[in-house]
Amino acid sequence: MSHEVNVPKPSGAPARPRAETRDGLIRPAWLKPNRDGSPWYARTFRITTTRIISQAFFFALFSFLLFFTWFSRLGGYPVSLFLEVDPLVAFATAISTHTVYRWLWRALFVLVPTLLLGRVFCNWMCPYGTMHQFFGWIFNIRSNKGNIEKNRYRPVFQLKYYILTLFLILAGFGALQIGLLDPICLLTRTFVVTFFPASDLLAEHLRSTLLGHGLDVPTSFLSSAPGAAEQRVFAGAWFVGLIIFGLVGMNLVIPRFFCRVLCPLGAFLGVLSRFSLWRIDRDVTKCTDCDLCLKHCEGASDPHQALRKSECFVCFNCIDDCPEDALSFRWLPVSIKDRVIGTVKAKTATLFGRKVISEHLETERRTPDVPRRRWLFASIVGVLSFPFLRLSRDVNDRGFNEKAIRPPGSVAEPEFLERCIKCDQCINVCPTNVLQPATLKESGLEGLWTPVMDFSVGFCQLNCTLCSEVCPTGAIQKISVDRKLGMKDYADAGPIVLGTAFFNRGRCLPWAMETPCVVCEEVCPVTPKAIGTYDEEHTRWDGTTVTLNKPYMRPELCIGCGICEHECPVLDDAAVYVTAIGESRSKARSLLLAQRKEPNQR
Amino acid sequence: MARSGGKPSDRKEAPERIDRRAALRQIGTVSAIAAGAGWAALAPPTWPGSLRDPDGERGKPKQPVFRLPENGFLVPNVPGGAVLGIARGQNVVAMLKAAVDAIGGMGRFIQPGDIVVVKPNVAFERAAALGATSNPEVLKALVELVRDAGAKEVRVADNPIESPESCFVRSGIQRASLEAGARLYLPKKSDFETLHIPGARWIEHWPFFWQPFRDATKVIGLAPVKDHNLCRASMTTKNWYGLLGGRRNQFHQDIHGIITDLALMMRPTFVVLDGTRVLFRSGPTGGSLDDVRPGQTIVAATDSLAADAFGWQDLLGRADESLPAYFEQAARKNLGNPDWRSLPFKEAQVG
Amino acid sequence: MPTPADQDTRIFVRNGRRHYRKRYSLFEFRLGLVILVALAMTAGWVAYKGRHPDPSLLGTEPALGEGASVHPPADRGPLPQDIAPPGWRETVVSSFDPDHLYEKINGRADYYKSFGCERLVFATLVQAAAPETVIDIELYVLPNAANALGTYAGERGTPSTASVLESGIGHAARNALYFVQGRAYIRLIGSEDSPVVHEALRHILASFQSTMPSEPLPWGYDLLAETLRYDVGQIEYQSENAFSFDFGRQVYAAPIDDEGGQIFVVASPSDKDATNLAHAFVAGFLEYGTRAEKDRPGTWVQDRYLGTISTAMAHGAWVMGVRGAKTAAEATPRLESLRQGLDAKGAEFHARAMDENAREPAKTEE
Repeated sequence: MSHEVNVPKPSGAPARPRAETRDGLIRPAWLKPNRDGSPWYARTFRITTTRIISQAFFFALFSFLLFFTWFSRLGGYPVSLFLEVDPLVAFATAISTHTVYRWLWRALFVLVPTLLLGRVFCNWMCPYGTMHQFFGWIFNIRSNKGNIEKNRYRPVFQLKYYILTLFLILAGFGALQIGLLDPICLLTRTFVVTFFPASDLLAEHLRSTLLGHGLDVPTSFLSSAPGAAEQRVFAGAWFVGLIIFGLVGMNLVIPRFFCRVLCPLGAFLGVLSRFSLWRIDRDVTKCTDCDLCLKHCEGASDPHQALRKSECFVCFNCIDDCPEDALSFRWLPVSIKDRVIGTVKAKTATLFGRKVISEHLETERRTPDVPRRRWLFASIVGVLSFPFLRLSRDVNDRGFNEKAIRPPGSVAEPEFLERCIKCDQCINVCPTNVLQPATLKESGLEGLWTPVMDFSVGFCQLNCTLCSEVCPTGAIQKISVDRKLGMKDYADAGPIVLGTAFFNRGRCLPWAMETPCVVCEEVCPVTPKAIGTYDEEHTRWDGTTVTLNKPYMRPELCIGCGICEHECPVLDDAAVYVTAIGESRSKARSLLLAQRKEPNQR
Repeated sequence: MARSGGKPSDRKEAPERIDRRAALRQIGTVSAIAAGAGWAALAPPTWPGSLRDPDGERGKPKQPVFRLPENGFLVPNVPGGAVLGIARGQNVVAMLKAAVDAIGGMGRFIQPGDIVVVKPNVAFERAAALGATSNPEVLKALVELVRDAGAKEVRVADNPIESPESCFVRSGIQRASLEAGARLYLPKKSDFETLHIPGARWIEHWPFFWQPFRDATKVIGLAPVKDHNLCRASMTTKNWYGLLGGRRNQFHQDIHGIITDLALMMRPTFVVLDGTRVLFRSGPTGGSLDDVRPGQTIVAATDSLAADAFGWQDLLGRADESLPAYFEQAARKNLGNPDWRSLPFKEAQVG
Repeated sequence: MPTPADQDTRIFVRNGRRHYRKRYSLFEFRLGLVILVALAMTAGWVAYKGRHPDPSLLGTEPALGEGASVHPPADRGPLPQDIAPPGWRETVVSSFDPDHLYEKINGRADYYKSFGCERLVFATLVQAAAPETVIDIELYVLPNAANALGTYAGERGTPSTASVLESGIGHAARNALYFVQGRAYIRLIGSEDSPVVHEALRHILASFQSTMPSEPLPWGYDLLAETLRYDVGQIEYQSENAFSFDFGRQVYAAPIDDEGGQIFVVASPSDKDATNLAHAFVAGFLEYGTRAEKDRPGTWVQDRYLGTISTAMAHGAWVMGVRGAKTAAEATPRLESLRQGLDAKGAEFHARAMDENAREPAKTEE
């Protein structure tokens, strides 16, 4: 196999030798004027450089905002900004809820540029795309020819449109699943569940190592959860980690595999970009059909023939790579096919009097390359998926999972599933680590990675409403502490109840084991306490006398915060445990006939 | 080991074996790996480079054990000096100063160059006004007083029950500490070491919030006056609970024994009982202003049991009830004297 | 020219930005600058937002639990609902019956109980802007106005006349206000001696005066203050155990000098009872002294320790007397004016006194 391709010699010398300039001074190659006479900075700061700066900026901003999603760092930072500007989040939740929540109007900041310029988001802003591009680039060992072949369009790239169709139809039924694959949700989740705990581990390990050498150096600036007493743990972290390894690894097989094949946001922006006013245009009178423009083409959008607008990421690499300067980014370019006079075959073709060199006269392909029947097929899959998902037992009011305990401020379960995008920002900000991504156990595939509370890990801290603050879609509605605790203006509504605590007397030390305890009563944060005790003098098996405070629940007072379960010394299967029953967000899941009595007010 | 590859025409000229030098090198490599593996696995454990662990003991993690100074952080008694200083009034700074002055003044306890640990109670994520945590104003006044006495560094440390950052911020302790120029210690896992407490009944070896105590020379406890569901009252002695880590939720199985152990563990330079607010019911968490009443009192004492007994009788107003059991248990171990009226004490009314 | 073998052995991409274009444009460069400015503005906006957090979200004064409690609210008794002046906030209200009075005022409880204190309502007001500034309200509910006035007079001491309230039955100290309103004795104690506190104290006083019914002066105050012009704030009333005599009940006394000399008056059911009671007083005085001033009418007793002069006599159904006066000469005109005062009031006044006395609730023995 020959590696000889029709490649002209590269213009920039690889070794960057020093060159003598007109004024006789020796300058580094990057300060050398260009052959076309333009100054050095027109080359060094050409548009792709700006693009790389933009990508680095947005990736840094994304990481920064997630890193600052924490009690002591939060301040007023718009930490869910990337989720809010994600137009697929806004669009899909608008379909499922018929509303645009809180800050989701910010999606216009992406939507409008897409309508003007095409999928600029994908290669200028999207941190996930940047990550894939980076890894695909730095581990790339292909030859020029190999790169060109890898960057040709393939039919498998249609898959993302099917995925988008499926998700949007599900959203129409009220089962919001975009979060499974939306790149911003996916990357946020990956940061939260895998990267951040790893950075905490590093910070802690570094600190103990330094302490071992007598150096008391704070390392908490490295930690995503400074001030957390324990290393944070997340349910199913291995699975989320496996996915990121798989998807990043696929870049070695197909560059930008995720972006080209799976990304529903890319598909959504691809559909929109058919209207875009600007696009890459190829001058057929210059193009020699060398295909070098494919060498770094991120979107595999075929700029060497008919540009696939829906696939083009507007990365401008093709312009960089064109040795004939035949490619440019143009405002409303004309379709040249009808204007060509003569035929290509006979080599008589001319355009506006200039000779056509390229054999391919098509310069634009507007719509995604998806046959109508397949749109239909994807739609049918979507329609049928809804009953399969929703009729799974765990997400229904009948047979709901007792451990699907939602964060405070959550809307009732059906509405919750209309809104939650599984981004796990709430899980990121939770100071006690009680919020965990649901596994298949708590709410099936439909609720996978949605937040649930696991009181063996943490508990819901009384004065904390951070999860409600960072939720971009209102699955957890923005609430105040007064609302959470039923104070002041909300005294009549009463506190938000997450669930109800129960005693397992068979495992409780005072009830079953003649041993004093009642940690649960001590930590119960409401006043008066929701846990009372029956106090009795008791003669133990060995004849000694102990006072046993046997705890019981006062269900009207319990808010389901779970600190009793968390602090119960019966660690593995706590003797007091909270289940979702009685949660105030749903009348259907209430426990007591008597609604909470109006609290006595002064 | 036949050589592979090469064109058929080469084969005729190729030697039957690889050359001697290559063979020796390869045999040498094999031998070295085998010998190294054998040494590591079989050499007696004391030999260098040995990994041998015949009974599994060698592979277990070694926990270094730490101890606090023999006599705690006490300073020598002054003959005839008061053990208990009680200041009543409204002005926190004046009250604190009066209380400390009554037991000999800060200069008696803090010398220039001291590294002082102040242990407030920041157990819960509550506003200071709810009385579940130490009053930040008192903490600030205390830290400033200690710094004015010449302390090199003042460290404020506690291991709260709820998430540490939130507790320190919401209780106002973080701001008060930083404003007063103290260094904050929020518990991290690496800050804990196993502490050996000779004579303790339950916590002879227990994870202890060691980091702030590294090189510390003086310790001051600052505790609020709180009702407590299980041990009946949480004051300066129970306050040391916040220096322990590990499975603290087992302590409730003999809370009085544990508090006695705590008194044994920590012999502070002195303690301050912060009676500016009294959480008189629904303790130790509280949660409503209805559970708090102003106490208008600050007590400084070199005997925590005496301070606690005063708090029980005077501030909690439970003089007609018997003292909680830990007082007697600790007194029996000579860790203090709950009969505070029998000790020299001074009472002052200020501001 | 890299060979395929080189391609395989390298770890990371080299010459990753090699490209082939020949022409460059300054427009791209300028556009890049515009984009950089846009990015910088984005960063600035994020930084600005970050520094302006929602104060309610991360405040250090989160929910104070107001309204969160379902503890039955403390019985406010006669404490008006909106007692807190503007800018102040009521925090704790607690209520103590006589058996639990000591919880709040250990050591002083017996004093209030001796006047038949029915309840102490305790409230704390906090200045909203400066929560360290507080005013404690102690409101003692007594059986009637006489006991309220008596409680007040017993605690009052001798304030400077300037600080005495207009009504005469109350006075201001540096940071406190003590007064009687109806059958309540009220102490307001501010945490500091500042204009803010003074202003609030005046406001609270006005609230009490406008919301709590005042009561007519009891007969003893009527007689001694209204008729005889003694200082109303210093007239003591002892409903029992007056002068440590177990027969000394419902005694009104007013000071006649600065060293504890008092005249006193008691209403008896009949002339005979009055004579007997007067004899009892004299006998009581004699336990600590000897007869003196034998040339004066009546029985005068000189205290053997203090040297002061005391006497008691019946005047119709009244008993009147002097206790602890410096000399009999000083005391006699006082007694004379008291006698004239009683005469001027007439029989109707005696009936009223007996009526009021009868309404005095019985005290439980300690």
